[in-house]
Formats: sequence, structure tokens, C-alpha cells
Amino acid sequence: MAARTPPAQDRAADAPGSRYLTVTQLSERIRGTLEETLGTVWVVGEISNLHRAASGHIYFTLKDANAQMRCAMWKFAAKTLRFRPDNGLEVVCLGKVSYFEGRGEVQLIVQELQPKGVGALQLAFEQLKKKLTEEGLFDQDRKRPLPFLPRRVGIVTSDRGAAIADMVNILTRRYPNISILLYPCRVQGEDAPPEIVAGIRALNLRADVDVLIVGRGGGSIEDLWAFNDESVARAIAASRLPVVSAVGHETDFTIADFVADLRAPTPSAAAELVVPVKGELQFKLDRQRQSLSAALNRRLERLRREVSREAEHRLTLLAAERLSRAGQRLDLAETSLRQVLPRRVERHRQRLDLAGKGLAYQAPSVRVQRSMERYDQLLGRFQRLLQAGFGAQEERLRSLGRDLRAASPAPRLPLAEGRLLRLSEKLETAARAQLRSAAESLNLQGGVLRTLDPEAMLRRGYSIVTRVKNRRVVTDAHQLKMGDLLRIRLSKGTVMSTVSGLQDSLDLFAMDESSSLHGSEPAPANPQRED
Amino acid sequence: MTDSAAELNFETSLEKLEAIVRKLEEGNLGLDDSVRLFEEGMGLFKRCREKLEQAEARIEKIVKEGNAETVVPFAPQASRSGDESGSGL
Repeated sequence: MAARTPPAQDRAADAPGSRYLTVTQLSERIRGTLEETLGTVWVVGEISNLHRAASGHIYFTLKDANAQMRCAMWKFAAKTLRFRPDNGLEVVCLGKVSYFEGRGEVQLIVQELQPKGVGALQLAFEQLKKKLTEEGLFDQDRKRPLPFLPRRVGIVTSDRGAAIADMVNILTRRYPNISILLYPCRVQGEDAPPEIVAGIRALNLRADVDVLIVGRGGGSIEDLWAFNDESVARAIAASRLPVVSAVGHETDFTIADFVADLRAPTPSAAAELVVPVKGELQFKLDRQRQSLSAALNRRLERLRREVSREAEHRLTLLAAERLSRAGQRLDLAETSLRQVLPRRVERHRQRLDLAGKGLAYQAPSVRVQRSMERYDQLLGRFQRLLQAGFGAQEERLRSLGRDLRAASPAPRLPLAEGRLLRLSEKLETAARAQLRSAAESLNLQGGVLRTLDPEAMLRRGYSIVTRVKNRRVVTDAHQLKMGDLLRIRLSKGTVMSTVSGLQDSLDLFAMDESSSLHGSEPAPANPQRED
Repeated sequence: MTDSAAELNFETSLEKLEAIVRKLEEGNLGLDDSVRLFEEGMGLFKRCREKLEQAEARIEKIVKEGNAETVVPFAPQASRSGDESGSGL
């Protein structure tokens, strides 16, 4: 077979009508044909040979088992990528088929690039999460505790919508005098991340802000996307102030949530985490204050009782001592009475004896004398009758005998003696009774001595204050004037002092704002008293 | 910044106050010590109360004017259905 002969050429190769194509012309035709025929197509394949040019364009090869094709993604398209294309990643591209004449290459100009299988956003999220985890930005020990009582809460969020309204309501409800500083910003869209970052930085510069809440209300994954931005994450990590993330709903997790010092499931929850309930704190505080006063009063009461008991004990000893001395004197008196009285009684009895004996010879009393006479008479008659004879006179004798017995003065002696004894007993009883009442009154006096032993009191910390002017002990501040000289007697030594402040005080340790325990504000000559 | 000295903060002060109350309740202290502890406790109580009142109840927002920032009072809108696209600055 003969070689084919090129067509005759009677003009220049590139002149119109020429039957030869130049390489350029052929290339252009190829490009035109490809672009017309295929245009824009979706292609699936694996990325390899990825190269990011300094210009921002991305070049890579898209391949499958049997074929490969060069791809280019220009900067403006590459910029919108949310994930990071890497070698080995299965992707789906939307691209325009083109022919690169300069290199004689078919090229796919990629307009859109998506990871195959999983969403681009999801992949981007996974990639960033992995990267920041490896850097340690999510580490638990990076996380700082929130201040217990923030004075000012900084918030980075939109100034419109439910999120900020809810947060402000809840914060002020829990803590009425809380201060809030809002940095209003966009919370979705491309322009959101730089504004959020600016907000975090701006609030960090404020000296009065103690804690930050960064977030927004609920939305789709695209709506929340700004909080998955790397720059936002780094700004939160770099924040001097502790950051609470508050993005979307309970089930939404963004990169901001991982890097924050604390994640709140919602903006409302963030408000509750950041500030305590003031009322509860006040209650706790007041209860402690009450317990403090009560404890002090109880302590003082016990101390007073101890001092009392001690003093009582000493006084009891003292009184017992005195009583025993008095008792001894009583005993002595009793003893001597017992000795003296019998002697006197004895003397009386002796006199009585004598008197009784004397009765026979003398006539001490008329009655005795008369009875003695009667006795004599009767005795004489009895004797005459006896001489005259018995008989019918027996009866008369018997009756006479009876009369004699009745007339005898002998039984009267014991009676008189008995009366005398009773009188002497009465004397004894009276004397004893007097001694006893003396002893009892002494007892009572001893009871009166139950004042506090001054020495023990002083040693315990009490002092005795006397006014120099009249040497009187002061117990009532009303007695004093400003400038009065006082002598204060302590357990050891004395202090001279001048009155520089006066105060009513019913409770020794009542504390109110205008007073202190040692009230010494300069007061006018007649200080006001509250009653 | 928050409190200038760590020992002045509310939580610590309240804890100290609670400890003092316990000590005063169970201890067998003399007059001097009892009074001194009480005074210390009252001091802590007052400090805590001051801390509670420190916040100034100002609700404000930052407004950017060019490069400068000013702070103005802020009140959230009553409506709770506003969009969240943000105000921008």
C-alpha cells in the first residue's frame, strides 16, 4: 500500500482555505468540541497528587481503577471549600471539561468539590476536630473553673432573637444586680466567624468582665456553622476569661463546645451555669450570722454560769465556815445552858426541899399552915377517940382517916416541884429557840453574801469601772458624760481612761452598720439615744 | 479582673465564717477568744454581704463607631421570635 500523499498545498499553512490544520487550530477545535459536547459534568473519583499552589489554586489528579484526569480548582472556588481535600479522599466533582492547549492535556476545571459518602460539612467538622484534639486544645486540664460570683457577664451573640432575651432574663432573675456586657455580632454566614472572634477579643480587654458566654439559638447545621470555624475555636482557646459555649439545642455539638471551658446545652442553660441564685446565698449568709450570734450568747451564758457557780461555791464555803463557827457558839451556849439550868433547878429544888422541911416547923404559906393545923386537930381527935374506945366510932375513924389523907400537904410538894421544873424547861427552850433564830438569820445573811466574788470575775475578763469624780462604780452608760474620767480596775492593774463615746446597748454584742463594738466616733455633748 | 486578693472572695469567706460558727459552738473558749472570734465572724459576714452587692446592675452593649467602641444601655426586644442572623456592627 502506498503512503497517503498529503493534499496539495498552494498557500501558506495558516492561510484561510488551507487544508492543513496547525497544532493550535487542532487544539482549539478539540477544546471547542469537548466543551460543547460534554460541558459541565459530575465526576466521581479519588484524589491523588494534590498540590496547593501559592496562588491559592489547587491542582490534583482524579482517578479510578483504569483512568485518570488532571483537575484544577481555581482559588475563588477553592476558597468556599469547607473541608480539606487530601490525597486518597473519594470525591464528587462538578467540573467543566476543557483542553489545556499549552500542555496538550484534557483538564477538568472543578467548580464544586464534595466528599463522597459523607457531607462536606460533616467531613470538615471531623477534620478540624481531629486536628485540634491533636493540638490539645480540647484537653480537660486546659479548662478553667468559672468565677463563683461574677460581677459582669460578657456575651457574644446576636442582639436580636430569643437567645439574648432569654439569657438576660435568666441572669437578672437569678442575680438582680448582675451586670451584663453584650458584644452584638452575626452568628451565621461567612462574615460571622471574624465578628465572633472580634467579640471575644474585645470583651477580654474589659477589666470588669469576669466570664464569657459565646453562642446562639438553635438552627440547622449550616446555621450553626460559624461555631465550627477554626478561628473561632482558637479565639476561645486563647481567651483570658473563661468561656461558656451556648450553641443551639441540647443535641448540637460544635467545635466551640469542645474547646470552651464549659459547654452549656442551650443559651438559657448557660445563664444558669454562670451565675448563682443571689437569694440562696443571702439566706445561707444570714443563717450563719444568726448562728454566730446565738453561739456567742450561749457561750457567754455558760461563762456567766461558770463564774456564778464558782462564786457560789466559794460563798458556800465561806458561809459554811461562818455557820460552823456560829454552830460552835450555839453548841457552847447549849452546853453551858445544859450545865447551868440543872444547877439552878437543883438549887431551886434544894430550896424547895428546905422550904418543904421548913413547912413542918414554920408556916411558909397560910394554906399550908391551915392544913397543918387541921391535921393537928384531926390527929388529936383521932388519938382521943382511940383512947375513948372503938366500936361505933370505927366508921367515924375511917372517914377521919380519909379526911386526913386529903388534907396532907405532902402531895402538893411534887406539884410545886413539877411546876418549877416545867418553868425551867420553858426557860431552856426559849433560850435555845433564840439561839436557833440567831443561827437562821445568820444563814440568811450568808445567802445575801451570794454576790459574785469580784476576784474571779476580774480574772475572767470582766472589769470594774468607777467614775473618778465620785468614786462610784458605773453600770449604766447614762450616768456618764463625754470626757468623764474613768478608772477601770482589771484583774491585774488599773487603767485610767476618758469617755470618748457612749452607746445604748441592750444586747452586749449587737452589731449594726452604724456601730462597732468599741464605739468611739466623736459624739456631741448629749449623744442621741435610740430606745 | 475579679477580687484583688484570693482570700477576699465570697466562697472562701463564707467557708471561713462557717468554720468560725462551728468553733464557737463547740469549743470551750474563754471570754476573750469568744468575743474575738465573733468579731472576726461578723467581719467575714459583712465582707460577704458586700461581695453580693458588688455587681452594678448595668446591662449594656458595645457599639462600634469606626475604630472606637462605646458602651450603651441595652434591653433585649420583647419579641422572642426574632431572627438570629445578627445585627452586625
